[in-house]
Amino acid sequence: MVLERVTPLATLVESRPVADTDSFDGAVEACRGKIFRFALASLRDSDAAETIAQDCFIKAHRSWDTFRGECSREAWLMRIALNLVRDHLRNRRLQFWRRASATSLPQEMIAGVVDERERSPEARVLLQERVREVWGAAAELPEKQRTVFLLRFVEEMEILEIAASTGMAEGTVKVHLFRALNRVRERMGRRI
Amino acid sequence: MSSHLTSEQMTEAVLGDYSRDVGAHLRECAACHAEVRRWQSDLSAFGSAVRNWSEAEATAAPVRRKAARWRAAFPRPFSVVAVCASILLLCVLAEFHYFGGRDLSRSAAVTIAEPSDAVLMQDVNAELSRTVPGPMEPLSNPSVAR
Repeated sequence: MVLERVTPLATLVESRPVADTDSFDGAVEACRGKIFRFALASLRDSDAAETIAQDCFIKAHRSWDTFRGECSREAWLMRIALNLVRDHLRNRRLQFWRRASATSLPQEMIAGVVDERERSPEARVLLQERVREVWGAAAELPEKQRTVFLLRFVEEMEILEIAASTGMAEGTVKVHLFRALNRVRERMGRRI
Repeated sequence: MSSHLTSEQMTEAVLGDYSRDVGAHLRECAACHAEVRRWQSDLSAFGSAVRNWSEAEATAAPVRRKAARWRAAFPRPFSVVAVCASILLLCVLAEFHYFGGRDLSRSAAVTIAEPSDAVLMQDVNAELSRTVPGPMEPLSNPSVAR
């Protein structure tokens, strides 16, 4: 019985296709999907996510030449997107009525979730139900915990990558991730 | 180590960042091992669900953008006017197409019927020019009638 350990960062970086993020067009090509996905998972509103992705690249284009190279272009773009998502959430903080719809899981989201190996209808329903629970629990996480949680489990980013994208220290990312996971687990109910 | 992993140890195990003791326990305890595997599977399914959804939404986005551009280019009042004008135009065209022939035949019929109309008008004029109404004419000149 061997558990899957997290893949080391070096291996992960090597295995990924190298994207040309030095040019603006290359960066858009390489990071657009990722930024849209993160915004969509955070805001649960595809129109808003699209706006965030566009605004992110507009901002990046304006300050493209002032990029100091302290982190990768990808991490820099992700940081811009994080700030835009944060601003968006602050602006709509009073719209609490939207929360109800925001926590409901889009049906199309779980449509393709089932693993081919899990063919029985019971297993499929059970898995969809668990995904629904994680989705609901993630919606109730505090902002920083949710950000780290999504970057880790949706974007499959490593701790160091998350730290570079969020501007947090590595230890802080670990603490947020640990707390987020604990909360989600509490919410879903422990088995043991 | 106690009978099962604590919540914190479980979280560490799910994140794949666990101590040697936790690793040893996981090898021995089937329940904890199953729980960690279940968690990893749930989180992995969650991640792929969001990625699938995002992909579907991203594919749908250009269509939505096009629709939004169309809406922006043709605001509602203008589109309502455009639809009304189109309907009106269609009605006019239909009128020409379907009733144009009949109108011609009708005008021909009018031309043919013209003499009878003239006769009728003469009768009407004669009727109006009478000094007394038709039914009372015998009374106005009784010698003629009898």
